[in-house]
Amino acid sequence: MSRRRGACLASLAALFSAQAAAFGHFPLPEVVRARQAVLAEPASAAGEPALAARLALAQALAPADALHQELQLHRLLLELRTLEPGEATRAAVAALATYEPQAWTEAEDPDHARGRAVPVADVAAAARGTLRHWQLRERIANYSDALAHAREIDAPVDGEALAAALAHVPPNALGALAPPRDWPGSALAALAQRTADAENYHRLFRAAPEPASYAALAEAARALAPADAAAVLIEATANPALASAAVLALAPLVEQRGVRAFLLAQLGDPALGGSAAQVLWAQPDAATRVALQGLLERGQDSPALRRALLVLQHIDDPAARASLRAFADDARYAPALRARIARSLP
Amino acid sequence: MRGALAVLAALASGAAGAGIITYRQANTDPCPTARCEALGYPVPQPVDSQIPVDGFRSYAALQARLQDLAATSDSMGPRTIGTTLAGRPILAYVLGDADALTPEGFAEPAMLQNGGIHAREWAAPEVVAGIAERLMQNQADHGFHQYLLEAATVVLVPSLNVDGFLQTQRFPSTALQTTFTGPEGDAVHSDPPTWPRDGRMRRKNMHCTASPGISCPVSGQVDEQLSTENDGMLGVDNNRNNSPFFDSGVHNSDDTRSLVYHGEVQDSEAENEALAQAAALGPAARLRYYVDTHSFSRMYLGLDTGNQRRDAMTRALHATLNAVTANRYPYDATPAGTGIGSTDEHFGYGLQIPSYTLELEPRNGSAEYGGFGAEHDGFILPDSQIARVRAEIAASALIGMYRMAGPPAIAAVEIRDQGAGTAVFTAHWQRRDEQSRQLVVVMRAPLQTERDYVLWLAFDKPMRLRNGGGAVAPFCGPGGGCQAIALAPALALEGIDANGARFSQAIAAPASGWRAAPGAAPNGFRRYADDAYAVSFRVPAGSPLASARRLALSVEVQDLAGQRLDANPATAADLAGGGWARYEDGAGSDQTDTGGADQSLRLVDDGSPLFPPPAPAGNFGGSGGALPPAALGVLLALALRRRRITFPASAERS
Repeated sequence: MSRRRGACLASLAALFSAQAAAFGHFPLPEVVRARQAVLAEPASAAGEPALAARLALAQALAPADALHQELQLHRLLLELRTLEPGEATRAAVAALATYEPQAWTEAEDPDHARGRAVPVADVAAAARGTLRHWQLRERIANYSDALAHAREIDAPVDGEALAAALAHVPPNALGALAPPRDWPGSALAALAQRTADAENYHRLFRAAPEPASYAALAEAARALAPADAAAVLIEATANPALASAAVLALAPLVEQRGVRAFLLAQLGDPALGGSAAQVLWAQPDAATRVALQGLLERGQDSPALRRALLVLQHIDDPAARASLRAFADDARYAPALRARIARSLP
Repeated sequence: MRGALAVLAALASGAAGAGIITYRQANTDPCPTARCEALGYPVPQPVDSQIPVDGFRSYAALQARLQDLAATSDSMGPRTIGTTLAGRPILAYVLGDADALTPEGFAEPAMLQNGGIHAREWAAPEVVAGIAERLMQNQADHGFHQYLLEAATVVLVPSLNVDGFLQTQRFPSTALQTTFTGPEGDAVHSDPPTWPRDGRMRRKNMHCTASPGISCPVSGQVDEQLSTENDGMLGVDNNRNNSPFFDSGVHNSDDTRSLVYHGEVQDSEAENEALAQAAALGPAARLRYYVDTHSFSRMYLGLDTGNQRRDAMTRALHATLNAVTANRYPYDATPAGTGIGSTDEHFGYGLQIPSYTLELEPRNGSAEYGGFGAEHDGFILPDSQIARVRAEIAASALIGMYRMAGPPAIAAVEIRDQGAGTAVFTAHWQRRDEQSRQLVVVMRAPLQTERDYVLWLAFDKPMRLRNGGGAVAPFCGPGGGCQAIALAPALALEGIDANGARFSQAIAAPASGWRAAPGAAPNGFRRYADDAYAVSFRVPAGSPLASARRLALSVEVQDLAGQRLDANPATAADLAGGGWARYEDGAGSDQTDTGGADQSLRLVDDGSPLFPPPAPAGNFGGSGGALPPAALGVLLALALRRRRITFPASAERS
């Protein structure tokens, strides 16, 4: 969050001007104008050779023109991502992946870098991105071919590329696919999504979670037959990193046989209890209320009791409030807890 | 290819125009919207998980998690501090014990950490929730965390701008690109045309303010769609809506479409009123620490108010916060008298307390994690990084709160004759009134030469931690950044011998003397693990202390945050006017905020004052004054007569 720049402008300007030569500092208005000019240049229509030539030209610009050079390089690198690179272009881009910025300016964004200079353009990151796009495209093509011809996929597997390949491969190529155990979560998630197969979801949720694994939990609940989905998700609660998310993913399946009982049984669990409570308060039924009331009537404080109270507070209907009122008057419980519950009542 | 062409077309247009930006890991598929940005890592999606994961939790799951922690503990409670325009509750969590008193009976200090004032800064709610999670997971540790809960009130607001945050989570992969350019030639108030605004990149709240060409729905809220450009630019920047620099014209704007629109009047926004209510839970008068959690830049932004003690304290506290992050979060303070209308200014100026805007990482953008340098990707911290950031900042915040809970003071002492197994000297400080303590001393027998004793010292807070191997350790962050403190205390018996000569006899004090097991004197901790220290010593033959006219125990030690002792526990330290009141240094001054060695425990008391009286003005104490010859002679004589002997520690105590 860059702030108060107006007040500090004079001192900052003095600081920057003193260091301008060393750091290649450019005032923000100049950077904005230069960026607009670079963006306004027409896109190359002639494909990779023309872009490569322009890249070479940009690299050859005199260091004194670092601002224009880096903006040009950045734009060209983005444009090159969609094209098939020649060897010379690939080498030129690879050389830029370690580029050290020469042109610096003040951050434009109000949330960034007060009092510090930031690079005008991150050429190195853009070059890495371009190389990665080329690599991805090649690997996706290779993996797609391997999948289509039932060939083994060489380790180590590039999860992102394989997931992309799996997303587009014809259904008949997926039929008998038995993924090795070392497939990354992103690939397993893509496979599970394509096949809507319970066993593939099981495989995914036993593996170390990746971001795609969390999305797949809710997807499993939608894609699988309800009973299968419930079984898959309940098993997934055994994976500690997925446990809470798996419980919450059971929400649309709460009426499935055994799910509500499973949730009620988890209320005292340190890792899962809170999540079970969250599902239960969103979808209470008569059986839930009876079970919760049973916890309240035991006369013993416990995590399960605390969560039963929390569920009732969220249900917040007359019957739930009556249960809470009765609890607040129950002398078997600690006065502080009763007082807390009493305060929560209208 | 269609998507790529769209990107090229947008880039080539120069202004790009209004449209939807889609964030993706890579642009290998056609772009479904006007522009696609390849991040180089999976685009974070809200995760419905209460338990922290390698990712960002959904608002519902995060709040349910905190409510669950509160429900299952007596040391945490939720409070509704306001209601958003959309009618959603704004929640704070109060962590601490049931009373508002420290274990000693003094008024508790309060700490406030806010998060999520800017909607798109997803790391902030995670980090603030992480503070609560660490405190609750360790609430019964009989040490550092339990102390914080019993000696302070911690108020946490994980997500202040609830409506805005939900809007960003509604569109985790898309944002609205706008064409707002602001007044011509005004770089500060112009947003470059490629800047993303609504959706994942919403910064402001959802308050619609009617202005020329823009009408608002009856609800007063902007809609939740991305398709309407004007609508998407509206909202108030809650971090520009505060006194004392509301509408200062410095990096805030009265243009309703600006990213830094300050609102119609000061404190106009429900979120800002809610933050005031959160402070009142402290209560506000007891606040000693305020941090507003943002991203990004990896730094602490602060402010000088012109109150030198407060400004110096803010820098010193920053050093504590920063050490835990291996000094990766530098400090930058706004000069006194200028500001933008932010919340840190509000608390810094209003209460004269240390107050910061914490900008979480990255420093410049997600290229630091291997990302492709997409514009504004600093706001999209990769899933893979948040667990580390959460842990690091929780550690940093808690050591900061520990520091501001108060400087350390000696609480009790016992000297036990090892041979006889009896205490020959005991003393403890007990609260007298709101500002002072009295010392209760029992002297059963004088120290004798050629005898072994056990000295047991207790402090009013935990002074050390233990590492995984059980060894005494400083406070460290998960990345290895540690507070630089001397682990061992420096102990001595000092006094004036029978002939009127000063002497000082050091007691060898290894770091292993800290006590991690319960049991109090002579071998356990007092109230919290490692709040006590024990060491054996022997008084050698010929020691002057057996016949001392005055004999005092001198204790020099730092707490976990590096604070030295309150040299005079008789007056209880508290924060007032930007400095520590009644926090005396070695010379007895409470104007330095430095503390010093405690010499208040006298085994033989000659009735002399604890601290020498300050030198008269114009005399040799001031700068530039010359010592009068007579005074020089007295000092020389004292120096020559001062003797120093070291007691060997006898067998190291387990």
